[in-house]
Amino acid sequence: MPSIGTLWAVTAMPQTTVIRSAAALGGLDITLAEGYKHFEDNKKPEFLAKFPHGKIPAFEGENGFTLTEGLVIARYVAGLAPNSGLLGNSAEDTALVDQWVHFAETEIFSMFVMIFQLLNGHLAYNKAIHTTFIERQLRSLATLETHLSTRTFLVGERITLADLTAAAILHRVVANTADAPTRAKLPNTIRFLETIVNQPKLKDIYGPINYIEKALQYVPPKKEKEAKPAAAPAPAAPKEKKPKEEDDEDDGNLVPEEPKAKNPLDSLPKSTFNLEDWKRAYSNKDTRGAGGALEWFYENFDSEGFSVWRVDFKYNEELTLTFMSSNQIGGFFNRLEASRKYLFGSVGVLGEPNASIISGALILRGQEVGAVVDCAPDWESYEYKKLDLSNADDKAYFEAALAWDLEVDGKAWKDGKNFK
Amino acid sequence: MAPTGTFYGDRRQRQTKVIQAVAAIAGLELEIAPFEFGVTNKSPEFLTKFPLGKIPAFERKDGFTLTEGAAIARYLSSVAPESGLLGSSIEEAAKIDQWIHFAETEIQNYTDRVYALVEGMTGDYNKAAHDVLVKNQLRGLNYLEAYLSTHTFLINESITLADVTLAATIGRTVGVTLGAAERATFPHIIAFFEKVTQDSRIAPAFGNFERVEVSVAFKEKTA
Repeated sequence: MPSIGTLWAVTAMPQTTVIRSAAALGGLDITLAEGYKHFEDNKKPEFLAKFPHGKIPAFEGENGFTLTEGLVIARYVAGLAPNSGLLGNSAEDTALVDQWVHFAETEIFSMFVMIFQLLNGHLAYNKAIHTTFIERQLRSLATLETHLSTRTFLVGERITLADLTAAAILHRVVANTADAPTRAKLPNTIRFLETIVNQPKLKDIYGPINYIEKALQYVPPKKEKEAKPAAAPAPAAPKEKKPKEEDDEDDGNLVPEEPKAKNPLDSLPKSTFNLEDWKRAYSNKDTRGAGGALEWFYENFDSEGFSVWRVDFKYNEELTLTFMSSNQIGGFFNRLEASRKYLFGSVGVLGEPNASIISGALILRGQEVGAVVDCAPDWESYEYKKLDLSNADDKAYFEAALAWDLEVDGKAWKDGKNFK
Repeated sequence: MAPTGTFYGDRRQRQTKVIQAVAAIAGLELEIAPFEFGVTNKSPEFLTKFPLGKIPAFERKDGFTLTEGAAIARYLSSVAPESGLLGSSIEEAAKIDQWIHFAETEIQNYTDRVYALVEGMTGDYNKAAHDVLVKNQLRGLNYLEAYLSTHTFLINESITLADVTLAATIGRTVGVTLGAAERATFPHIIAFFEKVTQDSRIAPAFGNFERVEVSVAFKEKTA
């Protein structure tokens, strides 16, 4: 089947899920740009010549027609398959599809983003505001719930773009901001989500639903011990230094409940590699060089029982001051606490203020990164690539991340954190 | 001409301005329902038709109801294809959708969030958060300025729904983040804004836009 065009996107974005689902149900083939690396490829002249805004998702049709804005691309793709019914079968139904798509984006997804930003410190935390946004999210979900109490689909009698969009957003909401007690009030919405996600052509695109059990609570960050003594005001004091309490955009600590269910990682066959021994070796030895931690690692590592991964933050354009990025890594590590027995990490901020990236390496139990890191609600904000230590580039990357001298695209390691 | 339907909105609301401009361009008559915010939209009659309780809201003469400002604007545009509001091809319509979505998410979104932040509606004021919002909006504005330096209107040689939507967003933004100094750095955006808002069909619907001299800043509450 000929492709309708190329899509530059990352699969974790809900917009990408909607675009791919629309193509699948429309019987259209859309080519995902191979090997696309966000924050690298979208800054290159070839990309910017087509898409000057530099954002994804971005689409180029076979005839050279270019289009941006994820949900707009999805609508365009749906429109290329009029027999699919994805945009409804009448002017009124089309308008209702537009209505529900806009509603899902502005009344549900936007609330989700605000709650998330309050919990991760992007917006200064305030309990009253957190409560307000939870209530607004619930108001929107309640409207959806009532509508779905007498319907299978949002518009008409078959699946439309409205259902695909709402499901993609709900998929993220139930994994992060709508906990078990909230979902108990939304049985029709959950039934709807399961119906859409389990359509045979869509199952692999949406992926599994990870229902969150308990609402994320904001935990104020502990005051860091490494305080520089408050300098007496001096004419030479650098103007950008403000007391940490005012200025700190620290990632709030989110402490999810310890999972009560038995962890499948405990059922893996016994491994000869002992993670605690590794953590001790890393702490006590120099990383590089003879007799160092890396030498110990290569002597003892069991690649059947453990795996090594590269981790990159997906939204590096949001990073500002490097100490804040460092705090964000710390926050992410705090939220991985439940997997302490299964995980080692060495992650840093590279580059300069407002031109930095978060990147690093993980050593984890088993062969699947999700099983170890999805205890952190924001794990999907990072991209993971399994490393092959017999590959020279992967090995060099791994070693540099552990030695804290990693450099990526000319960006040098500024500061880092270890999860041990 | 008989009214197409009844419209519930507020003349000060950006989405209402867009819809009323669209109606004028499309040659459609809307019956403007009396509306008192906080009263009308909490009444049982309103909530039966529009369960979310928000405006804009539209009820066609035959009872068909529609919410979400952008969806109403697009629907009314589609009723009058000869108006050119949605372009003359599927590709043009998609580009129109693209610029509308851009205007709402990359400009209006940040205008609203900065305004909410300095007014204390989203928690304690935080200068770093304010700066990030302004920076994010600046990226979109720079992209738009470059685009408008080589285009009269967004899609083709005449006004489309994208131009109407974007102009209303700029109109709100010059009252929040685009102070006099900032406006001076976006001559093509401002020229575009003036051109669209001076259209005789659009001017009455848009009404007045307040401009700030200085981009809004947080005011410490004095005891």
